[in-house]
Amino acid sequence: MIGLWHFLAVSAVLFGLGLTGFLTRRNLITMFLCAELMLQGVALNFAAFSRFHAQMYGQVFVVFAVAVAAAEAALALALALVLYRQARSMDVSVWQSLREAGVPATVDLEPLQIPEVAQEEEEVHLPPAGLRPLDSCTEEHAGV
Amino acid sequence: MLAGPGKGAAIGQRNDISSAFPCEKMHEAPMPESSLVMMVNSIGPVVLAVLLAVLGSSWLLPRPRGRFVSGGVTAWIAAAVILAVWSYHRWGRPTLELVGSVLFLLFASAALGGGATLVVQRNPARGAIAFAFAILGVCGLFLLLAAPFLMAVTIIVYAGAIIVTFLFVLMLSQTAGPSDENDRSREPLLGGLAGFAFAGLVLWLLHISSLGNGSTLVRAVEWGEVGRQNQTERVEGRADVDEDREENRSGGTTPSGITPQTQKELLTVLTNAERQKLREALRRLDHAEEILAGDLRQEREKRIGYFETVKDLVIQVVGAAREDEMGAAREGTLSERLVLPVHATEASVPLYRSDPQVRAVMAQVQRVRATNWRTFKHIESQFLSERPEKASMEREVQLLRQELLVLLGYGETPARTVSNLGYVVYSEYLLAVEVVGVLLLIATVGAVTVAQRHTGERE
Repeated sequence: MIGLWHFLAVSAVLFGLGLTGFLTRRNLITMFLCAELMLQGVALNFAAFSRFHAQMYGQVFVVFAVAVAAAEAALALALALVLYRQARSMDVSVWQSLREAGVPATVDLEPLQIPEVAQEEEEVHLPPAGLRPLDSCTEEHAGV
Repeated sequence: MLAGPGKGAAIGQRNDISSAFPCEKMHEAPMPESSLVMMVNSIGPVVLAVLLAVLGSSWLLPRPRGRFVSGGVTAWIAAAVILAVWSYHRWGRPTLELVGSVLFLLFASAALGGGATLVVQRNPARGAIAFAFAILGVCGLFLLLAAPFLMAVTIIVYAGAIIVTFLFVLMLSQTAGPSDENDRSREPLLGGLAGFAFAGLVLWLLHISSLGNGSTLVRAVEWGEVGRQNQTERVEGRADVDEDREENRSGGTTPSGITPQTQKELLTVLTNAERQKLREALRRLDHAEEILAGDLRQEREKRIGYFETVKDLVIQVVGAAREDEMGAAREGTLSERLVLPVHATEASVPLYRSDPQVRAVMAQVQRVRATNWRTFKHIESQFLSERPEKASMEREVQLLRQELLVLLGYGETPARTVSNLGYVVYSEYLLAVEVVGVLLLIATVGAVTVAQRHTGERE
């Protein structure tokens, strides 16, 4: 039967995924979502213990954690908005001047791969109403 | 993937409970010289899965070039399969409850798959969608854990949060072509190592603590599976269940005790000890067919003794219906724990509950008491009569079994946990509720303050 351990294992892996994402991703919004993923892992842990102890305390904890997460979400998104206004970018590495003294700056060595824009096909331009079309198709018509 | 060995296990489980826990048996034996080998054998798959996951994350995380998507996805799937098989063999056979297991696998894979997609997705808008799937998976798991209120709250709060996040993505992060924030990662290898090594360590810790080596906490949370085996042996070895009860109290396998008058214990409808007893009684009723087989006029004492054990188990929990031959009427542990005693003086009133859940439970307790008494009397008189009727005895056994199942259900029905949760929150955590409310208000004001444009220069 599905026991406590299965739920704990799932929540551990969820937390690990969120931690990985929070540490490696550079987009503020993605980092925020990864932090929420970690929170979900912890909430699952609490709920599982609550179920298998047959007590409500774990669920009470989750209720408060969700409330605090909502407060955190409001503040985090406001902060992201302010940071975006300052730097015009969601990249956290823009703010690496806030790093500790003595830590070398991260420099992006690899150039971004700008995909080559495919040659756009010439679009068909409709002539404005009321004017004689001047394109090749009208010449064909004139030839007929 | 899991169907083959599970079928065999399902057949084996019914006849022999202990065969489902081969690992516990194996690890309980003290074998110091080979413990290192055993540890490598048992924990090796987790290490392998963690390494595969780190490799996969270093391939999958966004980077300007050299992203190896198919290899990363393969590595992650391999890691997930290894972990699933390992936890399947380590922590029991999930095919026994088919529906529950399938739902668990479905929701767990939705949660983990959504989370994984969020972590490696370049496009933050798609990441937000993947996060929504992860949330839905977690909500499904909440439902399986009998927490419908948490499911509703999570969906409401996070659906709002995700919509807001989505708007933010659309407003701020729409960049044409590759950009620094979406197509680069900080230290993909080390970050993946940090995250997945953490997960692996937690799994290793779970593995160690689930060996069942004497920790009362572990025994308490195992649904009494380990304790139940011990109890079965004890009950079968002895006719006097009172002694058994005393031993249970001092033995440490049931940390919740018998007559706890603490507020904490009041809030659970059925303690683990009571659950164990009811489940044991149910198990015996399920096997009543074997006892009722053959010539019923032979081995009467043994057969009656079997049902008497069931009766005594039930009486310990719900109490006796009336004064029986053995002595005074007994209150069961349930009513001792949940109901205000008749003889309580004003100075010594213990804690008790008077909410609807307890009233429903006590009504069911009355029914179980009556049915228990009637069933045992019927079976006894049938066995002592000239021509025992097998069919009528089986019918009585079925009736008792149904009443017991309903009583067990009162401790487990998910719908009841909502009112129970409200009871706990508004009785014990009233101050915390107020504090959280103030915190939310402050956060709202703070968010507005932080996000507003500063117009001070103009004035």
